[in-house]
Amino acid sequence: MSKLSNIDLKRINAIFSLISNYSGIEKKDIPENLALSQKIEKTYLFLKKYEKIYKTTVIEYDYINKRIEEILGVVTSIAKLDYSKKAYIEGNGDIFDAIAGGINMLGEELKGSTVSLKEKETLLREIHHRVKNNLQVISSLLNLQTSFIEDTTAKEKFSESVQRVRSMALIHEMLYNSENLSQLNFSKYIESLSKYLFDTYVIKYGYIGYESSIKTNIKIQNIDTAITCGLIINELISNSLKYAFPNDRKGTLSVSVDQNDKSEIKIIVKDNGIGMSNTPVIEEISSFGFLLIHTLIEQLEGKIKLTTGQNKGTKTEIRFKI
Amino acid sequence: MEKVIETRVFRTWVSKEGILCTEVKDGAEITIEDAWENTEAVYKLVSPDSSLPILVNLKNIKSISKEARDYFSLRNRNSAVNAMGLLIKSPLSTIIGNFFIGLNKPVVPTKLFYTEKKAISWLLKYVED
Repeated sequence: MSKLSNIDLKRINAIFSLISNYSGIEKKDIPENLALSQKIEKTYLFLKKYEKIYKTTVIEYDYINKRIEEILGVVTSIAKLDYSKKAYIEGNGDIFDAIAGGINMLGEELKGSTVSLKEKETLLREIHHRVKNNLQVISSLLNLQTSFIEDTTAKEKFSESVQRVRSMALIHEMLYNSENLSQLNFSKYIESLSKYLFDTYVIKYGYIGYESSIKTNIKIQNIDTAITCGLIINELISNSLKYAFPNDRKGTLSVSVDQNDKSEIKIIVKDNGIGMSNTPVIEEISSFGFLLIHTLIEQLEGKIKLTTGQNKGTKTEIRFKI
Repeated sequence: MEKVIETRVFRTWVSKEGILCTEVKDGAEITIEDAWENTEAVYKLVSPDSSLPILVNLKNIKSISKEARDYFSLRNRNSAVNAMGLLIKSPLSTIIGNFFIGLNKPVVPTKLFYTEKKAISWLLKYVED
């Protein structure tokens, strides 16, 4: 019989449990003074004593140790998604062969699932890439068309559409570049979108500073929500940059994003531009941009609050559940 | 006397009750090639346009590959087999049997049995007149 001093208590418990199951001896039959934390040697002797009564065989320690070590090795490999190792089935018809066989089969099934998941992930990444490319083609076509338009208003409308399409393309670009395809890092998206819009307009408008306060690591699983929200921010930022700072007026545009609780997001787009004399009712503003904002807010089942005043800038606050 | 077809790891025949019987040889490690051979054997024993219940004796099995499990469940001889009784005994055969039913999900009614008598009694319901 081997020495047991090096076997830790956890393993003693595990081995004891296996022995008792194997030999058919119920745990309730074990006297309390032979509790699990006691030396396995005593337990072994106890079981040996009952061996004849129960007409069964108590497995030797070395065998148990060897089989457990081996099976644990395979489980550890599987946990690391290494499926090359297989537990050996000795053909003794015992519980260790059953565990080894079960572990081997679970490993095979898991390997199949992992491969299938990887394939799906690659496919999804490819789809996002293609959607982004297609949106880029659309925005390039619109851009090209813009250069042939002479009417200033029509030209402006085309440019606005280009920005909207690019806002949508940005999400797909971020998704195929991200590690996790099932959720979007909303914080990064809004940060990138705001900077992109600001950089696009600032060439034209100059003198305007940009500030942001975006809570990090807000994750959104519903991509439609992110796209809708991106379009709203696109409208608000472009509105501010177009109308709040006329005649080279200096000022600041700020974007803040916060998550009040786990399910509600608050976005504020604020400028210190010329503002409006009266706070308008959003639903009653006749511009296409505000009509779009109103429709998109309804889609999000969110709320919008507009605060403005003559030379007091404009602040738009959006809240929605995710 | 019943005609027995013997392959590398199986012995297959039709019993007097009209049940297809397949016995896994002692310590057999079933591969996809073995599964194909077994299917060929079954087709030789079952007349075309008819189907029989099958009793698979897994008592002495050592292992079965994923490909073979998938083949037996998904591309089963579903035209030749209409129900499956799996005879188990050792902890290993119990695990394999449960695994086959739980994860590989055979397309025909399948049950595990510890005794041949109970298995045959259940399979007889699937013997066509």
